Amino acid sequence: MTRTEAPHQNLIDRLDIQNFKHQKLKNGTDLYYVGGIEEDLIRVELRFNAGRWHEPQHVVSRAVSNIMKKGTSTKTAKQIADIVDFYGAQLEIDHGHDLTSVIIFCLGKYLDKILPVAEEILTDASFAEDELEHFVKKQKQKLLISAQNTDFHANRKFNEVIFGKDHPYGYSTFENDFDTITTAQLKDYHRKHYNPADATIFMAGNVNENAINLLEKHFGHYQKNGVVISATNKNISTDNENKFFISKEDSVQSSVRIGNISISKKHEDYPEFNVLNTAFGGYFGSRLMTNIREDKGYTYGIHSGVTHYRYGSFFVIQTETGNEVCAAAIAETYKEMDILKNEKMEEDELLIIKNYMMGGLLRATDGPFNRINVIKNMVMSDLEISYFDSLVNGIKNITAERLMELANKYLDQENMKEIICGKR
Amino acid sequence: MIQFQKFTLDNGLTVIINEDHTTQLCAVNVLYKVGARDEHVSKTGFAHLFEHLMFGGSANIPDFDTELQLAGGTNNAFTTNDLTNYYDILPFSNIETALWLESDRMLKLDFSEKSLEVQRNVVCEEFKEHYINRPYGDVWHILRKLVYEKHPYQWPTIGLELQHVKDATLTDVENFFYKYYRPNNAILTISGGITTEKALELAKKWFGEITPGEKLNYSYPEEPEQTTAKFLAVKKDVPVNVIYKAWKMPGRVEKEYYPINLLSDVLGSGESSRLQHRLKKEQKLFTDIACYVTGSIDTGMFIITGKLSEGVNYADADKAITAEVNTIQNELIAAEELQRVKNIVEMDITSGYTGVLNKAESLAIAEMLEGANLVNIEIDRFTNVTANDIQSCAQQFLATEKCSTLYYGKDI
Repeated sequence: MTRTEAPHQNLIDRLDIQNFKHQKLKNGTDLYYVGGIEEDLIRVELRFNAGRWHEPQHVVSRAVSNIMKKGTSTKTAKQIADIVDFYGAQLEIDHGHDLTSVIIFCLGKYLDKILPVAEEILTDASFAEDELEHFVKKQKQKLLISAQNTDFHANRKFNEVIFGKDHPYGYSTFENDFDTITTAQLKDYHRKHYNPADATIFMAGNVNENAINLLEKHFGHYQKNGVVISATNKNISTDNENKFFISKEDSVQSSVRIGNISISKKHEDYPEFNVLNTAFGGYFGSRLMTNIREDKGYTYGIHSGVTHYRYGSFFVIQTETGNEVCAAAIAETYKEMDILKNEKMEEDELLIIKNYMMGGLLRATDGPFNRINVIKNMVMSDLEISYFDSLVNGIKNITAERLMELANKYLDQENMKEIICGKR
Repeated sequence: MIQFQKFTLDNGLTVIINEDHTTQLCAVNVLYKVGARDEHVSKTGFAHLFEHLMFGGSANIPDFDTELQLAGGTNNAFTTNDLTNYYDILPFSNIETALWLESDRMLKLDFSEKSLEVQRNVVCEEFKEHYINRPYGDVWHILRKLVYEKHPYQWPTIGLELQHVKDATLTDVENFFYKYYRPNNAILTISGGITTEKALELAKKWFGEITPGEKLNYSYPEEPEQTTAKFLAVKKDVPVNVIYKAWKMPGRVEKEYYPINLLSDVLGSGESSRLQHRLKKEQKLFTDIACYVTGSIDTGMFIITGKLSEGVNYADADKAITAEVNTIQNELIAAEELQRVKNIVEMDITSGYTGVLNKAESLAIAEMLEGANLVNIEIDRFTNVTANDIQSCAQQFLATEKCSTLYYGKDI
């Protein structure tokens, strides 16, 4: 045996993305599921069109998702928590910009105990005054603590700059936003956005007929209530300035965010842009990590990534770096951009990226809990399952020339917004 | 239930294999029995710094990550006060790549001054990011120092101060490696779509020839029993006052660990728990309150911590926590409450053992604690706990004089 050469390696050729089921409940609700594990665990996620995009006023959506499990007309918050905790279950509301999920995670044998509670909070949440008060108090405290962090200020500013101060994806939350929301608003929003008939359901784990019957029983008989979810576009107004500095005198590190509006998943370039992003800052061996962490030691981590909302996507490079090396780290970041634009990537590096990304897709689709997430993300972005093949082909077929072309098209320093929060 | 087989190679390396043919992946996990508790008080943070250096190239392989990525894999590592753990996850058809990589860095690291210098800087930035440039970032430094008098648990894995990391030398690195990073001080676990026979053959092929090190006799200063309550108030410019109350408790391998763990769930796990319901929800003294155990191998910590509501003073918050502790010392918990915490543990254990990575890591840690089969019998140990066990633990370990209290905030 030789230690200087890697053992024979096999290419990844099979990805199990098609291994899922889709059916409709009696009322037409879409149900997607993946079964096939030994442990008696089950995870059910109901996704709703609820989030910042849909709210009538700042923080209403977040308040609803926080308070909806704090009491119904027949149960107090304590009684709900007692049931959920007694069975060792989790009943969580995951609040996003466009979509909000109600998630049940429990042992399969207790699904029949938890689903009725989930149904109840969806259809009969009471939004008591004292729960709102408690929420407001806690959120204000959280805001105060967050405000001590440089990354908090950098992120806020970045979102404002990219989408605009008044845009649902761009607005920052301030203490006084919490003072004007009312329980009446919350009830109204909850009624409009959490009708079980409007959910898309994703289930994974030890799925059996009983589990499907239970979903039918608790969610299959609701009817749509005619509330139309607004899909009208809200104007994105990206700031004209490119550079922003927020001073925080007591900081020892600076938070840096550099980025711009990005193409969406549906854009024809996206599967390949995805590869470019990975090469640049999307994995441990990326150009940014290799240079700025592993060669210079300026930071614990530097990453680039693309975030997709339903009506807007952005690209961002982010790092936390010592104040004294911040300018150098930024200069190196732009230098790496230029290198991608001007120098063709060596085949060795391209092969690493391709193999790494294929491994990533294999991990992302391995096992029911992972695979259902991939299915969910495609379904909720109105993408066909075949879109997954485009991602695979983007990885498999990309060339060094094409990467350079895309770098010139999308990595433009002149177009980047640069936000720093720290001490100069 | 995790099925596994265990072997010991001639050089002392423990090999544990779990076959899982439901997945296309496999996990290779290497645990070294060394952590921050093995450091000298003047060279803290070294075990963790060393973890970084393990990616800086080995005898025959200049770049660990590149080779693993080529095989479609990914990896990471973490350091605790007790151990350092490395894992790789990749398509099982490429498992040999992970074994090649892990064995080469166990064989011999390529010690270089440049790699040390860069990683010293990276760790210093990590220190700043997580412990300095963040409100409450230094709480654990303060709390550990307050609670532990003798044991090296008095410092966190990142180290006591930046300077210790900056002072690390190449000689330190080399000595540490040949003392602790030897096959007889490590556990290799493999979980995935490979037969036990094949996995063992490959483990022998790649690890079998590595020279063992001296047999280590671990001994740590025993933490004295605390006989008077300790108290510290730290004034900091943070927006919210916090309180920590910590009691020393038996280590992870002691039989009392199980009732104490359940005791912490009774007090703090879920919104229906005593502290969350009574002190946060009903009395509104806290906006957040939690109770947990650290699960260290040696003397651990049982911790109650809360964020005080605006306008609540420390004394009242402290008194309310003490009152709840007294209640659980004086009254048996109800049958339903006991069942609840057992159900929570059943869920935690069941969900914690899904996927090749979780299984490989859990088996390795269990093996270090008392034997890999712990993963399969632990649930029974929790199930057998009685309300009396919980009460007597509360009486024995949560006495007032055994408590260390920290007030941390602006209103000191």
